[in-house]
Amino acid sequence: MEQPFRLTSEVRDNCLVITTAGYVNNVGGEAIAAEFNRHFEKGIRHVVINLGQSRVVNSVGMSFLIEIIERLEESGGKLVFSDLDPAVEKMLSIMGLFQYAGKQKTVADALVSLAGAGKADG
Amino acid sequence: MTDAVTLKMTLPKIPDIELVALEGLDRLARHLGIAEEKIGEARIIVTEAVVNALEHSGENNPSVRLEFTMTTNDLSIFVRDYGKGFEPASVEDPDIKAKLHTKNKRGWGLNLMKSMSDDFRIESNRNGTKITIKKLLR
Amino acid sequence: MSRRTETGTLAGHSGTPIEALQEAFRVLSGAGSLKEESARFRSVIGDYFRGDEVRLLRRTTGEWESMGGGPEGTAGALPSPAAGVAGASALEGESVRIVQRLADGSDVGVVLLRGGSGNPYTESDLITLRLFLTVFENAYREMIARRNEKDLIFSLNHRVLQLNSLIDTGIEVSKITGSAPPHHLALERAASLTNASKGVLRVTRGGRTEEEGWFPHGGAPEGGAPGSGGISTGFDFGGETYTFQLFDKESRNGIIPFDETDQLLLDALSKQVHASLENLYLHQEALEKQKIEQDIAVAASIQQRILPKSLPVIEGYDIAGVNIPSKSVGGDYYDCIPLPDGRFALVIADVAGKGVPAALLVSSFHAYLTAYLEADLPLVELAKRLNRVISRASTEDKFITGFFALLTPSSGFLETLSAGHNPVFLRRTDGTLQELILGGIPLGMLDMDFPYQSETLTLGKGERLLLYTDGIPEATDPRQRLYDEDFPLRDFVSGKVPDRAGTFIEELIADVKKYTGSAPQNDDITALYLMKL
Repeated sequence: MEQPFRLTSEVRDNCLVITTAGYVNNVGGEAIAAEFNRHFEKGIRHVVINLGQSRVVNSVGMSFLIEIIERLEESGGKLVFSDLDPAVEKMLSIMGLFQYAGKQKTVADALVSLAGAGKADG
Repeated sequence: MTDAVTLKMTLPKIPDIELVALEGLDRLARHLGIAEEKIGEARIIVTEAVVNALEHSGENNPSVRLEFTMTTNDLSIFVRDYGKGFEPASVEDPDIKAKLHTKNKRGWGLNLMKSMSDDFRIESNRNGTKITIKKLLR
Repeated sequence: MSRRTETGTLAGHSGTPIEALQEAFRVLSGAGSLKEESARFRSVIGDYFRGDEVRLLRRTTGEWESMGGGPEGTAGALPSPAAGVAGASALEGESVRIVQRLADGSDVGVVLLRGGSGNPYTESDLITLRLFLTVFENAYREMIARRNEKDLIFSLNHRVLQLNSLIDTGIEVSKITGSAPPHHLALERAASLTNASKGVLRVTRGGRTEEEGWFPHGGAPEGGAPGSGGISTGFDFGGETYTFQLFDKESRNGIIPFDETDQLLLDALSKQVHASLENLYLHQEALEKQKIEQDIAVAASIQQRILPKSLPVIEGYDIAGVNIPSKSVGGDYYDCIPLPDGRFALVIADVAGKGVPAALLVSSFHAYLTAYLEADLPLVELAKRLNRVISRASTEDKFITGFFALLTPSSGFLETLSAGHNPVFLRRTDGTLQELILGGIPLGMLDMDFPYQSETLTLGKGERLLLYTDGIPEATDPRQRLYDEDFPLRDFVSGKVPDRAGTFIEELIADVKKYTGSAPQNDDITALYLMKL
């Protein structure tokens, strides 16, 4: 069976990197949002969410990510997803999340893309 | 030509019960020798279908009935709940633009099921809702 | 095998003409050439017609030529066979003249002359000589046949190596049991036997190439496929077309055209591959069939042991059940078990899978079920435990769907649980149907404490319960349409209300059979019907 949800995070180059594992359900989504909010309050505006270890996600869990996008939109920040399973990527695409968030193959690529975005921002 | 395998279950409304459905799906796929990556989208459809059905399953019978019929080429998913039903046509397709800056960010299930499946039928009345989905496995 | 050449002749003939003719055949057919046979014939005839002069002549196209015994001149008087006739003869008292057409189209003539002192020839002498000449003809025919055979072998001699190789290929090809495809080996052999420098094998289905193998590389040659000018052959098997093509026959003088023998060799190899593919298929099919038949017998006996011989009588109720095993014997089970406290357990179950493993699993299910029922466990606990033990007792793709109902006859109180089984129909007195579906996952699907649920209801007078397995809703008509739960099964259950449970079962089975018509029964058909009187 799918593993229960777990979350780890670290801040690299002023970027928050959230890595999940297991099923991202509503509780998982809420946990991601809470972790983001904690760092957002401290001024973090660049976020990478690595879903590589989450084979299953549901739309309720994902809808919490819209909240993250919303806050970053308002503050000139940016969210990038990494390590997406093709089916999860299709799901996020149908939900329209990539209109506001980026996607990269790896966390490293995501960090590079955010560094570029940072420079462009000023 | 290909043999169909069927799996039926009734799932109670308890947290993460959809994972049991996914486990059943995985087992059917393994039984038929279907590669894991071919059922990735089916897994999302099933997750959404079960979560959605349980959410609408109502007080009297908070459970959903689920049937999978799988061949090496496709998967049929039948989900039924015993809630009070709704008018499918009145459900608007969600839009991320509208979801931003509003309180309700949920309500993606039906749209995801429709978008990701190859055939989608819904029948809803006051005795509940039946959804039949066909997904090609490729 | 060849006959030994007799050195002697029929010196001092005695005995009947039949014996003489048999002896003549033995002597003549031992000859190695026409000349030798002619000499022996003269000697045989000379012995038989002692004292007479024997002349033998032969013509292939024009003039008669002496084969011994006298000058050609005597031939002038030989009769000529009419067109389409093998012989002619003339009897003139002191001479007999006979002509016989031989198998090679030439004529042989015999002139028999008697000196003045003897009696004139009779009709009997003519017949005897004709018989001897027929023997000559037969012996000659056999000689030619022997020679042709030798010639044939001789002419094939230079292909012996290739033929041997072909036979080897045949053996290797037929030995292969599926690991390396025989057609690749055949292509390689065909190319090396014919000195082709390139070859390709294509397997196509409906015009689409499914497989392509090149000789000598495996992949397509550099510079693309060769142009025309090669030879090709092929066959159809299992909906696929196999085509062998050879290009660029090499020789000391460069590339030369393929000859007829090359084509024959390629055809022969292709035929061998075709035959070996067919053999392989038939062999596997036969093995499978044999195994399946044994399996079915064992499974059927296991299943029969646990199915009820008869159902108990429940006061105030009528109950009937049926199990019609399919050809391949699934693992269906049903029963109505009286419990110590006066209740009855109605059970129906269906194992995913067929054959012995399925039957064995039902057998252990049956053992656990009866033990747990005796222990008076609540239904949800019973299901939870059955799920556990069956998970551990079976491989992950084996599970059992089941429906359990505990009936308290006095009150009509029913507690039911469906473990991933088909919905059970409860027909209320007003004709409406209620589907009993509450329960959980199939037993053995997941090794976990699954939270099974049960439901309770009360059966009123005249109300009925139908439990059934997949064999009914998955029965198909000749157009592959299901005897579906929604239609027509639902309507049947709702519409049929006979007085006896047994009648309902009989009519249901008849309706399913009528629906399926000539379509084969794919799965066990099992049903259990309870009605409150």
